[in-house]
Amino acid sequence: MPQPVQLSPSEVSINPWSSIASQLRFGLVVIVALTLLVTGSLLIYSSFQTLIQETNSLQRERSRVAAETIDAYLDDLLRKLNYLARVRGLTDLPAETKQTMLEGLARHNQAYELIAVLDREGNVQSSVNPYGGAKPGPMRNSSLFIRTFFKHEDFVADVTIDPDLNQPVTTFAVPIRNAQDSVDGVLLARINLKFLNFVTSQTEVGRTGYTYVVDARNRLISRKGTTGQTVQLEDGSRLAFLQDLTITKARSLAVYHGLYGAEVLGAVAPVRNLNWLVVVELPTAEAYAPVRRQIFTMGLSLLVVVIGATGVGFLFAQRVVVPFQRLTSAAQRIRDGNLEVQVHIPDRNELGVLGQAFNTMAAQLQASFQALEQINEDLEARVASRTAELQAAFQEIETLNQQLKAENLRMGAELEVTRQLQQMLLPREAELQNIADLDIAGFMAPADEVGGDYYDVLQHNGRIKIGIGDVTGHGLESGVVMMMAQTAVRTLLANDETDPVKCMNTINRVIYENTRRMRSARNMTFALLEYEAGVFRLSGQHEDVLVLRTSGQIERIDTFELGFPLGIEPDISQFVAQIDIELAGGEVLVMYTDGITEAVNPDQEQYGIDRLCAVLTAHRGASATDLQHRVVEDVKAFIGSQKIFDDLTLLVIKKKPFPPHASPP
Amino acid sequence: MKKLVRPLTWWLVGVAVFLLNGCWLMGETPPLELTTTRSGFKVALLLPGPATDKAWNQAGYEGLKLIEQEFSAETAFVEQLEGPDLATRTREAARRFAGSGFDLVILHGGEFVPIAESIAQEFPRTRFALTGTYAGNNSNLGAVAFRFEESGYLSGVLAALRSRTNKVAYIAGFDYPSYVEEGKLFEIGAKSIKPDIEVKISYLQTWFDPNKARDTALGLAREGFDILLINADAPGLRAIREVTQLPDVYVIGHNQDQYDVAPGRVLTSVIDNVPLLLLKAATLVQLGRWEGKQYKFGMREDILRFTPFRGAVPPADEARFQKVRTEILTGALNISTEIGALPGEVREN
Repeated sequence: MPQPVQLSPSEVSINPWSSIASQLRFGLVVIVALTLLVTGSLLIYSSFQTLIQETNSLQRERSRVAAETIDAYLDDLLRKLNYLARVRGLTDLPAETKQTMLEGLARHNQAYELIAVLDREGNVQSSVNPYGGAKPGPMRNSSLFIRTFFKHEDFVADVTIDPDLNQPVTTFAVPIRNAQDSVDGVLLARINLKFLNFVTSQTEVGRTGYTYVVDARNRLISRKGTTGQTVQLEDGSRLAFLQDLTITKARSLAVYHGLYGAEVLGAVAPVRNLNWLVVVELPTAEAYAPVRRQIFTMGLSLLVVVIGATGVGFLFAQRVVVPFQRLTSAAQRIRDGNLEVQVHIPDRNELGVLGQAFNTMAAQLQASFQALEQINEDLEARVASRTAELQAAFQEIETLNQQLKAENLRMGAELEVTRQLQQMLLPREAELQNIADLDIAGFMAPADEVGGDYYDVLQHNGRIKIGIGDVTGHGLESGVVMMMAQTAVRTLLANDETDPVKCMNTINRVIYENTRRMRSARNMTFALLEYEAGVFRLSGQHEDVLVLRTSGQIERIDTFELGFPLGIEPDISQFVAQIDIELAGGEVLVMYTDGITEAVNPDQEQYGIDRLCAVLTAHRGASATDLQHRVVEDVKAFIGSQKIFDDLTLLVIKKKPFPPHASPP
Repeated sequence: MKKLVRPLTWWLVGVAVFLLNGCWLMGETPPLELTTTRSGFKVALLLPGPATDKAWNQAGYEGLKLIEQEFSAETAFVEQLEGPDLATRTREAARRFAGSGFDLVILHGGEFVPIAESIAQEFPRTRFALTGTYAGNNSNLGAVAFRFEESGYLSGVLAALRSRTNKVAYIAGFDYPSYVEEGKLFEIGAKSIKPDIEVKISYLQTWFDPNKARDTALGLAREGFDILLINADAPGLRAIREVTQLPDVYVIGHNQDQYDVAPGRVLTSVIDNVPLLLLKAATLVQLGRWEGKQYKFGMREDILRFTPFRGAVPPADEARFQKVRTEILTGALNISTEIGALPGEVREN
C-alpha cells in the first residue's frame, strides 16, 4: 500500500461554527426565522396598536353616548323652563294662569317633582307638586334666588337625596321676566334624577364594565346597580382620575384603578348642560381580552409558521449538506490512504455529478498508485543490481590503487637513488677552485622526477675539459645514461684523447651500445669544451653557448652544426665539428640545459633565452659564482610555486683578468 | 450575463412585492382635500379701542378670528368707537352689519350696554352679544360674562396671603357691575384669610389715561398697600411697570399674562379668555339657541384662570390658594352674594 501523504502538522480542521454545513443549515434557518419574526412582530405590533385604539375609541364612544343620553334628557327639561323664561310678562300673569301653565309643564315630563314661581321677594307665587308634597318656603336668601334673580344666571342646585323618595334630586332655576322683559321673578323646578339610574343601568359596558355619573362637586350621583337600594351620594373626590379630570380636564381616557379598585380602562364624557361627568369603566382584564386573544393567536401562528419554515429550510439544507458531508469524509479517507472509497450521492443535481466525478477520480487515483507501485519495484531491483556492479568495480579500483601505491613507493626509492648518484658525481667546489685561469661556478638542481642533466669539469695535464649534457626522459634510466657519459668523458681524458671527433664518437658508441642492451630509447645532447692556453674549443650538439663580452654584448654560439645527439646513430664522426672561442680577461662563457630556458611559470610562460641574457648583461661585472646565483634566483623567482619539470643546470665560466701566477693565494 | 440575470430577477421581484405592500398599506386613493367654503355664518365685532392694544380689544379681535376659523365664518370688525359720539358711530356700524345680513354682532365691552338694547330692537333678525354682565333683552340681545366673583375672591385670598403691610388694593378701569363684583369679592376673599386686612377698591373711570393708572397705583403703594390687583388695559401695564420699581410691592395682573412686564413682581395674572367667551356666544347663535339672557362662564369652563406663580408664591401659600380654588370649583365653597347684582332694568350709566 502507498503511504498517506502527510500534510503540515497543523492540519486544517473544520470549525463547527464556520463549516459550510452549519452555515447552510443554520444560516438559512436563521434568515427565514429572522425575516418571519421581524415582519410578523411588526404586523402583530401594528395590529396591537390598532386594536388598542379601537378598544379605546369604543370606550370613549360608550361614555359619549351615555353622556348624550343624559344631556338629551336634561335638555328636554331645561328647554321647557327656558321657554317659560322667554315668555314676556310671565310674572305679570294672573296666578291662576300661571298655575295652569305650571301644571302643563309638570304633565309634560314625569321627572318634575315640584315647579314653582318666585316673586321678586323670593316668596312662592304659584307652585305645582304633581305627586303631592309640601309647598316650599320663602327663598329670599338662598343661593338659588340670589343667582337667578339678582345675577340673572340660570341656576343648577347641587344634587341631593330626597329622603321621602329615596331618589337623587336637583333643582333648576331661571329668571323670568315681566311685561318689560326685565327680570322680575324666578321659575324653579325640582327634578327627580331617577332616569340617571336607567341610563347607567342600560349602558352596556361589556360583561364586567359599569357606568356612573359624577356631579359638579365630584360626587357619585348615580351608578349601575344601585336601583332599589338606599341611595347615598358618594364622595368621588377619592378618585384621582376624577380629580384630574375636574381640575385640569386633561384626559378623557386612561387606564387607572377604578371605582372598585380593579384596574380599568375608563372614559369620561361631560354632560354639557350641567358640568356633570359620565364615567364608563371597563376592567382592563375584559377590555383588552380580545387584544390579548388576538395577539396570542397571531403569536402562535407566527411561531407555527416560523417552526414550519425552519423545518422546511432545515430539510432543504440537509439535501445539500448530507452529500456535502459524504464528499468531505470521503476526501478525508482518501487523504488517510484509503483509495477504495466511493461516495453515494443519488441526487440528480450538481452534487450527484460531483459525487460521480469524485468516484471516478478516486478509481483513477487507485489505478495510478498501483502502476506506480509496479514501477517502483522494478526500479528497486535495478538499483540493487547496479549497486552490486559498482561494488565489484570499486574492489578492482581498490586493488589497482594498492598496486599503484606500491609502485610509487618503489619508484620513489629509485628516484632517490638516482638523485644521490647524480649529486655524488658533480665536481666538488675545491676542484673548481683549483683551475688557475678560470673562475667556474656550477649549479645543478634536479627535477622532482630526476632528469638526466649532466655537467662536469675535469683537469688533466693542464688540460681542462668541461662537459654539459641532457639525457632525454627522466628517472633511473636517464640517470644511468648520464653516468655512462660521465664515465666515458673521464675515461677519454685519462687516455689523453684530444681529438674531439674521436672523443664525441667514442662517447656516442658507449651510449649507443649500452642503450641497445638496456633496450632503452634514451639519447642525449652533449657539448664538450676544452680549454688550453686561453682558447676554448667547443664541440657537440647542445643548447646555445653564451659568451658575455666585456663590452656587455652577448654572443650566442649555435651548436647545432657541431655534433649530433648521442645514442641514436652508431657512428657520428661525420657530424662532429669544433669551433674555437677566445675569451679576454673578465669575459664570461655560460652553458646551460633546457631546464633553464624552458622553465615555466604558473601562467605557462617559458623563461626563455632573452631573460637569461638580460640577467647576465645586468650583472656582467660579477664573479662567476655571483652570476650563477643571480641567474638561479631569477629562474626560481620566475618559476614561483610551479613544479620543476626538468633538471636545471648552469655553468658560468669566467676568464680571470690576470695571469694565473698573479692570482691571489 | 446569465450570472447577472438571476439576482436581478429576484431583486425586481423583491421591489415589486415591497411596492405592492406599500400600496396596500397606504390605501389606493389619497384623501380628498376639499377647498374650504364659507359657511354663510357672518359675525361682526365692534371694538371700543384699537384692535392691536394687546389687551381687551385685541383679545376681542382674536375671538373674532377664532370664530372665523372654527365656523368658516365671514367676519368683519370696527375699531376705536370710544369717544363722545360712541352711540352714533356704534349705531351706524351696527346698521351697516345688520343691513348686510350679519348673523351676530358682538358689542365688545361694558361701554355698549346703554345703547345695545335700542340697536337690538331695531334689528330683530340679528343676534347681538354683549361682553359683560347684562340680563339680556329676553329676545335677540344677550350677554356673555365671566364669573369674576371667582377671580375676585381668589385674588383677594392670594393678596391677603402675600401682604406684609396688611393693606391690599384692587384697581379697575370702570365700575362696571362685573368689576364691582370682582372688587367686592376681592375684599371678601382677602378678609376670609385676614379678617382685619385693609382693602381699597379703586375705579379709574378710564381705560386709556396712562397717568391716572400710574398715579393711583403709586399713591396706593406709598400709602403702604403692597399687593395691588391692576385691571386697566394698556395704562395698567405702565402702572405695573412703575409701581414695581418700589421695594416690596407686588401686583396681580389681569386679562393677559403680565409676568414679563415686571418679572418676579407679578404674583400671577387673571386670564379672562375672551376669545373662548366669544366663541361660546357664536356657538349658541349657530345652534339657534341664543336667547336674550346672560351666559356666565368661569374657571370650570377654563374661561377664567390664573397663570402659574413661577416661584413668586411660597409653596404653603400656593397650597392654600389651590385648596380654596378647588372648593370654589366643586361648589363646596359658596361665594354667591348679592353684590354685583343686576337690576331688572338696564342700568343707564
